[in-house]
Amino acid sequence: MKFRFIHAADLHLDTPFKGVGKVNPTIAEALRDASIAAFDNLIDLALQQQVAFVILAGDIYDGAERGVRAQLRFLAGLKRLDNAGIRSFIAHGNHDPVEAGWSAIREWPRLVTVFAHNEVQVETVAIDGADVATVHGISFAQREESENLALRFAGGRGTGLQIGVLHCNVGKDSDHAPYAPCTLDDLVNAGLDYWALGHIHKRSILRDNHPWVVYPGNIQGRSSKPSESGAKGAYVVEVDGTSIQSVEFVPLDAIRFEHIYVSVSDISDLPGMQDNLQERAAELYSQAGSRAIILDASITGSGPVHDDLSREGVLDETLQSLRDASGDYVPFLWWNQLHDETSPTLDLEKIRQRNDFAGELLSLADNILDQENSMSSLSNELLSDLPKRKLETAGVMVPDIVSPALWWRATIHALELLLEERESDTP
Amino acid sequence: MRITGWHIDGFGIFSGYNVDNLPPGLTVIHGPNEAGKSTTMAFIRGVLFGFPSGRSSGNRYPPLNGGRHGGRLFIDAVAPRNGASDSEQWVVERNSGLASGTSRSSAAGSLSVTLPGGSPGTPEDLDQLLGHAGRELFRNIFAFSLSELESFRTLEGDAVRERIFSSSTVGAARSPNDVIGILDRRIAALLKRRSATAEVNDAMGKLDIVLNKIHDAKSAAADYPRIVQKRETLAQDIVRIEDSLQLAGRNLSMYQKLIDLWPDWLERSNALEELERIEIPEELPDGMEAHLRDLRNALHDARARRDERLKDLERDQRRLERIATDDSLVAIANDVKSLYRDMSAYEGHIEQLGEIEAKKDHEQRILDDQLSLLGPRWNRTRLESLDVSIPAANEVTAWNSKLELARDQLTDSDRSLKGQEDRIDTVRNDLDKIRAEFNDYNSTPDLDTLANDERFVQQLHSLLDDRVVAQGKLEDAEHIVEDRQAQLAIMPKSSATGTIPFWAIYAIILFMGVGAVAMIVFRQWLAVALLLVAALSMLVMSRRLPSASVSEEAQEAAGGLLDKARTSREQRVQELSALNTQIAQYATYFNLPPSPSRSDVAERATLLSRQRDARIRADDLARQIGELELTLQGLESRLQELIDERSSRQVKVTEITNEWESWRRGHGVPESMSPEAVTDLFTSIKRARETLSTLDDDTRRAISLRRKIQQFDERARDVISKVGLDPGDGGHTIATSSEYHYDSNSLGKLDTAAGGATLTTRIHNLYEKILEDEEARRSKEGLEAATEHARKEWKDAEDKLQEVTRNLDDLLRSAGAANEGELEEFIKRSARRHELESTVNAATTRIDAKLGLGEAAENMRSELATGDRTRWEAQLDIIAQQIDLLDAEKQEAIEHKTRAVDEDNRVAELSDLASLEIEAEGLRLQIADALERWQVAKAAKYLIEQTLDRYEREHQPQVVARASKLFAGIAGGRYRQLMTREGSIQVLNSHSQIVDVEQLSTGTAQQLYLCIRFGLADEFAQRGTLLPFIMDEVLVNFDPDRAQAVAETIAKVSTARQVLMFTCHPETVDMITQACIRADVPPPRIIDLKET
Repeated sequence: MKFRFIHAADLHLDTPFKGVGKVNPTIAEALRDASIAAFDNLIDLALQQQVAFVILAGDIYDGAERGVRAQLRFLAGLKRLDNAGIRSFIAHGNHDPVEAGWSAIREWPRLVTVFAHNEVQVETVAIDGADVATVHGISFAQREESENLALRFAGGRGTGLQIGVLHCNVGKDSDHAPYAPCTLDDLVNAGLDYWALGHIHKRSILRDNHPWVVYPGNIQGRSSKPSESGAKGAYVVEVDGTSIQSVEFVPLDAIRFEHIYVSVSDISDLPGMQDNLQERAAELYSQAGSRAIILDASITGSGPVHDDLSREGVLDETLQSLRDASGDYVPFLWWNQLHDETSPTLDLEKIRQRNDFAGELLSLADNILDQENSMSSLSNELLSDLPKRKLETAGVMVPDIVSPALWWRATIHALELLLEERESDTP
Repeated sequence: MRITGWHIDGFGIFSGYNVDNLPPGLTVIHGPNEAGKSTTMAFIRGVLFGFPSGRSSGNRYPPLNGGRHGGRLFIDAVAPRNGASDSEQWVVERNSGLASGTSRSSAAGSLSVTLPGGSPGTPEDLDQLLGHAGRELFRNIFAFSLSELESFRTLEGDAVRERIFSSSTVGAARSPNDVIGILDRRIAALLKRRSATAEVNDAMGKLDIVLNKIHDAKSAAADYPRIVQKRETLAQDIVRIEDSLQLAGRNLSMYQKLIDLWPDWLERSNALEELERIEIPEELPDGMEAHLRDLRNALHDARARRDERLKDLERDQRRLERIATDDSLVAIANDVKSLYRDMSAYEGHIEQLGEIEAKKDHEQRILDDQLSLLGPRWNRTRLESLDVSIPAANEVTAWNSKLELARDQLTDSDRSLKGQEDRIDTVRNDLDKIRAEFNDYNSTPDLDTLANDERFVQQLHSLLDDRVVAQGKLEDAEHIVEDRQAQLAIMPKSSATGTIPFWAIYAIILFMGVGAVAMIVFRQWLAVALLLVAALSMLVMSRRLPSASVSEEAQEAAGGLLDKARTSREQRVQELSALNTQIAQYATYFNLPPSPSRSDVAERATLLSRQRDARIRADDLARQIGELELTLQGLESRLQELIDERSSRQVKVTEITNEWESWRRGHGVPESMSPEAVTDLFTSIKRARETLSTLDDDTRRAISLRRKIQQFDERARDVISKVGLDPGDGGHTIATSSEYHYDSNSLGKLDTAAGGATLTTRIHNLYEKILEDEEARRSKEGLEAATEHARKEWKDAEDKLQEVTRNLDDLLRSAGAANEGELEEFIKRSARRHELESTVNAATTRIDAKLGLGEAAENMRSELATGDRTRWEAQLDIIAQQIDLLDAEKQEAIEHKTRAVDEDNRVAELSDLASLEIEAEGLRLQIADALERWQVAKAAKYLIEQTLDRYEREHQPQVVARASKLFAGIAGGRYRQLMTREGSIQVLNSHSQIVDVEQLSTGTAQQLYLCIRFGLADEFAQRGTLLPFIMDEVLVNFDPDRAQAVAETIAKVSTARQVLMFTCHPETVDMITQACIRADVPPPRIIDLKET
């Protein structure tokens, strides 16, 4: 029998967004609702595709103490599926472990299965009285789940397509917390047909046959990081009997995070740079399919634009100008941040050769950068004024040392301030 | 590096100005104020480092004398002591707005660099050539003016240190300390302890607030299940209370319904009871009551109508009896009516008669007046006898016209005669006046004589002019003779020997004196030598003046010329003599002195002019006299004609008057009447005749009217007597015709008796009575008909009453009632029965409607049947109290539930974590970004501080050591050494005391700073570039000894590098020159800007 199901994970409802600066109220509201809107898109997709069931592989909420609103909206979505006769299978992950937090949901709809945490729960899915799939799943009891839960799964305990639902870190992905660590072999050996995994936010298909091992990624990006930017959504899996026919990605994100890189090496002035950025943004926007976009841009390369960008306030003014220019986009296109990664036009080699103040300063900087210890001790001295504890408590990322990149920026900055030519000084 | 020269296209006062071949050592550029020293210095700085921006046009030195703004510097890049060939020369050109392939345009001007060999260079090449020195460095160390030297003095401590040592930080456009200041401000703006405004502090404050909100939201969210539980319990409580309330409501409704139904129930029960008690013998037919009521009404109406008709009949009969008539009036009715109709005419006749009589009296009085106006003997007969017909009147008019015409013509003749006599008098007066004037002018000579004299005067005038010219020529000739004689007299006999002129001797003495003074004051042998040379030159020049020599040929020629001059003078004398003779002749003719003056001649000319005017006037007057005499003759002959014409007209008037008198007498017209008076007499007679005619007409009309009045009187008396009235009474008041008569003597009078009015009154009264009698007869006839009709109606009413009475009796019999009272009782009982039946039916319907059917309804009916209303009301009160309690309980539960819902909502709102997280994340990002900038600024500051510290440590001692040596040399042993302490410069004096720079005199401090500059320049030279020094008036504040010492130092410095010194003081030029001699260095090149 043919049927299809949806595999999604990492909903992180009411998720906090990272790296989004101060925004206007309209965008703040859209951001607040983005994760829930993406979930609504998921439910719409399930109804539209008339799937047999929906799998949510962990991290429904972003935290154990997530807000009431998210839970109620989540329940409302499940009720819609229930009303349509679509089953839902839910596993809890490290962000919403079973034993932590509470639930505002007193009673789940009839067709919802929340997997237990103490053992792998096995549920059979029937269509028109015929069993078509068996769904195995287990939830995290607590956040710090260090057990290889994959080992608890065993195929052959049901009929139809054998699906495992697990929130885990396959192959110890260093970018993600090493919860429920397991290897691909562990999964292959379990004897299932399809592993519906969660936890890794960048979607990937680790194995595309016997069994399929799939991370669908999260349904809504949360920052401009590479793993969070670009299209986000779920997989629609077409099944014929116990055979996977296709695994198709469908974007569901309400707001898309993008990051572009523009070199100013061939650009002579700021308007030229702004034109280039706007062209790139328009291109991305047209590809996003009527989605709002939050855009970060890194400006790279070396040229006269560097001097303009180095002036106090110019970067902020450019950012504001870009925001003003994209004010007509509906849904919005929001320029989040501009990262000035341009290099100065200073001929550092020449300065190094000059036996003067600038040359000596550059020589000093070279020494500091060459000696890690020296840099570290200097960093401590320089950062002594920093209210580190207070910042850490407030969740502000504070580096322990001044990074080499920052030292280098400081060197260039000092040289520019020293050598900044006033018009009348031009030889 | 050496500046070998420059070309200024246009810069300040300079235009197309060249300086070249500047030596590698010292050059002194000398010139007074305003000669362009500062301009030249600014030009050099500008070409090397760019012109100041356009904000201060004063610093830009715009070209005042044309040329493109800017110019070129020629630079030898090789070490200064090595001679530079052309091929090694750099050309640095900078112009405002210049654009070319090898130039870079900027606000500072466009730069063009040409390398040795002619290939184009870049700005970087120039930068390299200048050893990466910037404008500030160049200004601070190498190219400075007195004011810049002095400006060090005004700075203190760190500022001096900063100025000196930042100057040595080659390649830095900003001083490191400036940069540290910028970074400090930036660091403080980003993060600062106890600051609320620093960016990080501000954002942290905001983040704290948001994090607290997040904490609250999370706590509130955790409480959510308890709130939901509470809300649900309360909802159940509300449902329970609402159930109880519903039950109580139903009971309340039941007892309320019993109480509401009770009146209906009671009414129905009572009605049923009464129905049972009512008795009626037999059923009355329908409509009995109405029938009885109709019959009673009909009976009442019939009686009322009969009584009314009877009253009408009796009233008509009483009226008929009251009407009375008079049969005697019927016989005269027509006569009286006829008289009554004529009565107004009769009254009109009486009134007309009165008016005519009054008019006749008036006309008689007019006639009397007219007759008395004509004269005493005028009466009716004479009035009618005189012929005043139209032909007679026309004749009188003709006489009148004729006489008036003759008299008018006579008057015209008199008037013409008078006018002619006046005109003759006027002409005679004019003639007398002109003759008198003519006599005054008549003695003047004639015009021909006068014309001849005038020509002579003109000729005399010309002769006088010629004489003046001749006299002038004579004087010239005499002068020439004198000159020739003098020339001949001064001609030398032999050539003279040359001598030194006095002015040359004076000049030599003057130069010698100046030379001596210069030698003493300036010790300048060169100047003295120059003066001596100048003096000798003058001597030679004076001796070279050409000396004169005269030859004998010349003497001869001069004698010839003298003779010619004398001959010419003689000719002039003769010419003058001839002129004098001619003048004397004319003077004699005019009786003037033999040699008359110009004024004498002019006076004579004026006299001749006046005589000419007088002659012309006299001739004109003679012509006028002739014309007036002719006019007078004509006028006198016309006067005689007019006198004759008047005499004939007088005769004609007399003739016509006589003819008129004859006509008058013939026509009986009174004597002595003019035709005009006769015309008036005729008019008066005509008027009197018209009055008489009118009077006769009115007399005839009065008689006719009296006759008509009399006829009416007679008819009236006859009728009055017929009705039995006394005619004598009436006749007494009515005048007879005999009483009206015309008295021809008294010209008519009407006697109007009052009796006339009485007669008409009687006729009128009689007429009224006849009309009243006729009206009474008509009323009587009408009343008789009405009485008959009333009697008939009364009879009909009586019949109707009888019929109704019979019908009532029939009704009583049909109802079995003995009388009307009994019948009424039967009807009343029947009505009550029907009423009770309706009441029962209505009450039953209402009760059924409220109770409905079924068991509950039956129970309610049973309950109603008990009639225990008191119990029902008691139950009602009890249930109402229960409901109040339940309502209060419900209200309380609802309030609790509302609060729970509010709390629920609040929690849902509080738990809107996403918004708060977004806000917090925004702030975190802002803080992280600010911290990154803070770290960069801190690190940058560290780098600069460390470098500066090291730089000072390593370079400062060398600079100070070099400067110390130079300063000790200049100070002449007073100061021994310079040293630095805590970054400040201090001085060790000859007594081994340490002195702060602030304690030094201005001049000493300036020397110190100059030495430090030399030290810094040497330090800079370590980089392989020797930049030239350019100094402007740096020696003026120094005492002579120090100044010489400094000059020597500068001279020595110039052995190592090029020095350009600008000064306006000639003594400075000398001092430098001497210093070079003492220092044994090549003498300076002196450029005098004044010469440009």
